[in-house]
Amino acid sequence: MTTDTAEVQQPIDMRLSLAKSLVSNLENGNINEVEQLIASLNSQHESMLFQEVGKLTRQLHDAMGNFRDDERISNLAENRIPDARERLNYVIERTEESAHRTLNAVEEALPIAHELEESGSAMREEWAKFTRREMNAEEFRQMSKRIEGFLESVEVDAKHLNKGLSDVMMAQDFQDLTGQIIRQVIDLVQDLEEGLVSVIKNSGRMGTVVEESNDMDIAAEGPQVNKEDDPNVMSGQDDVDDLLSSLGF
Amino acid sequence: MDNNMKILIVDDFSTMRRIIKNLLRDLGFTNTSEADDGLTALPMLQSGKYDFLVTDWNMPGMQGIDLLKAVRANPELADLPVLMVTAESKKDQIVEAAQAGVNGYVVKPFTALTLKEKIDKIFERIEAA
Repeated sequence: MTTDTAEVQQPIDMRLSLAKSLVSNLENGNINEVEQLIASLNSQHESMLFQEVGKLTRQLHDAMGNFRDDERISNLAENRIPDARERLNYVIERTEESAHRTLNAVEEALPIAHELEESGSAMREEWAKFTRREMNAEEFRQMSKRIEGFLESVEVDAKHLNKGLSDVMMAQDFQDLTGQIIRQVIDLVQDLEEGLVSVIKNSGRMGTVVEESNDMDIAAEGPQVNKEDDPNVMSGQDDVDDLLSSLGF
Repeated sequence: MDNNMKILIVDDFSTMRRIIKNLLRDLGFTNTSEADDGLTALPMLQSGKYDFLVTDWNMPGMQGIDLLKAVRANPELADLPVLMVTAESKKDQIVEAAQAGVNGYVVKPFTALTLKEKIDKIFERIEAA
């Protein structure tokens, strides 16, 4: 700060002395002197402006340099942001898939439930007619057949409904898988914010390199988004089973 | 396999805990409890006489792999059967879990059938041993 005030103080002193001599020359009517003094005051002002622009340019240059030197930022831009895009696409795919799975199961189950309701109520009416002794032998035979058919279909329909409801339940696994991905993207956004803040803070200082921490431990990574590209990633349960059996499991 | 065995389900996502709990109920196991990470699970295991642990890997607090290692390191829990149900699907992660002494490994997303098969296999081996 002290250097800044000294830098500013010097031109102010100079301009003050120029102004004082301008006043005395004006009083004495030295026109030539007066014009010279006004020109030199102007040029003082311009050179200060150039100095300021120069300082800002320098700061911008340093900031750009820091941006390049900060490995974390370049890693964010080159790897993690495109990666996040892929991850968010994965979230869309998984949620879409789950929604369709749920809707498919519902669309299959609704007509079954409707049919059960209709045949149930028809059956109840017939049964009421029978208990009121309003049914002849032939009608009773036909009702018995229909009851038999109904009981069979109840068994089959219940199985279908069971399967549909299980499907709906399993489709909810998206919440875990996409939740893990969204957490990673939140972390990325936070890192990006911190990176940008540090670039702004460092903009006056050159060559501040933020080292990427290199964690050698096995870390959790969440769901793998592009299984095909990485030979280290298992493509499914069968691969996992093969690997485990090769390890003696 | 005892249908009344006490099972602890550990996952940070309550939706996944519910799915696993429902699947286990379909398989006839109704005696289940839940924990949302290793830090909550470990004291429950130490005091609760559980027969089977089903755990996720990626959780805040204590991760599933560290819970597995803590279980194996504890003489009272060392023999507890542990099934990992996780989205972690890299080769070195599965090798790590195997070396840490996991009994079965199911990758998410999984099916009801896969879960049943792995549980059956774990208890077949234990009963054969």
